[in-house]
Amino acid sequence: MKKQSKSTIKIAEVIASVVSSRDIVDSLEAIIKKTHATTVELDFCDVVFVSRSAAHEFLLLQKKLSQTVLFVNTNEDVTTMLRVVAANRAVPKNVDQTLRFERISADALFI
Amino acid sequence: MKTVKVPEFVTTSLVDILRPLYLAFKDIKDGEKVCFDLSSVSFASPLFVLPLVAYLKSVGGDVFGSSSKLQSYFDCIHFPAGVDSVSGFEALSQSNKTYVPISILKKSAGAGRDRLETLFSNMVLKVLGTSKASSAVYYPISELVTNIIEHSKVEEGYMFGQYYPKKNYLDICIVDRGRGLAGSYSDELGLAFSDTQAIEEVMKGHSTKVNTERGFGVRTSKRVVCEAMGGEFMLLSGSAVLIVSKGKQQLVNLPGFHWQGVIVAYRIPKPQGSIDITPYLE
Repeated sequence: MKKQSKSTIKIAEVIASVVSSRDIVDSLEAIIKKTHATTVELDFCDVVFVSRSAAHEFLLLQKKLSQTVLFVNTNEDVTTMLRVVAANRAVPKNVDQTLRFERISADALFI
Repeated sequence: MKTVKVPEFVTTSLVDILRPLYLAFKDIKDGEKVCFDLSSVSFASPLFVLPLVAYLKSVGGDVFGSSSKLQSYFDCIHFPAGVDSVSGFEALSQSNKTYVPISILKKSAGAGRDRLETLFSNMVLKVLGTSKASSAVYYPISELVTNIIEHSKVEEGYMFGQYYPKKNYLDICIVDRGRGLAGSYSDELGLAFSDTQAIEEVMKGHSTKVNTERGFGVRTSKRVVCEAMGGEFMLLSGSAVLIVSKGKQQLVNLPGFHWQGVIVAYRIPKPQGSIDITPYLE
């Protein structure tokens, strides 16, 4: 089959205007592959928010696929989330080993 | 069937709502069907209502003795059935209400689950009467729900919200009946953590996945709720609970109590302006 040069997938229509779940983003892979396009635009028009987990999954998908995947029409919040997660991918933060909690008994809590 | 009398709530602080939940479920064996006597309960908060819904739906059992006022409230929020579809949610949210319906998120619903969660989050914004704090509202709901769907390994998760206009705060609860935090570390990484250790590791950002780019969802949600919004946060799994309130972070072992799964509850004051969550993102 001859490949189309470009295809667009509207995320708000295919998923929702708040994209939360990793597994749902992951399911986009099949939809993107089915387009047979060399470049696929994921159109975030009407998407108001993307969770950190979903943003991470979008970035993993972008890297994984042989097709060129572009994020377009991202609002400020979605842009920020994608950029923060991409930066963390480059230089991951460590587990916070300094975190300490006050340990108390149930009796002390419910006094 | 065993009958358990649920004690009256002393005050409406999160800890004081946890107390009757703790006492009601204390000494109940996992999977044991129970009849909950609500005759002493005059007030029901998401932190109490949602675990009860999850327990009744996953194990069975019943409630009785509700006052007419409490029963009327239960009827409004569709206790214990809840809604599990976009159409069901939309039918319940037509009029101006202060609650965000008990919503049941089904793993198998795929994108329909994110659409239901979108409605839930948007209704939270609506009852709070704000659009300027949308990211701060969306972030913890989206992260905590996706955690439930991904880590619990069960089909359903639950969420419910209630706004208190006179007190100017909103309570949200998100619950699952899955393998719990310690169970996730054990199954995924072979680590034998106690429930308190598991909560501690989650808050440190120790992912149950090998990928080092993950594990930030819960701890960032806690920071957004407590630091960005000035709220309170509670994370309970198995026999342990973390309570973050007024600058204190207390980790408590709950003897005789075991919740199969995870309960997250938080309280946020009505936002007075825009809230920037960027400093908390990682």
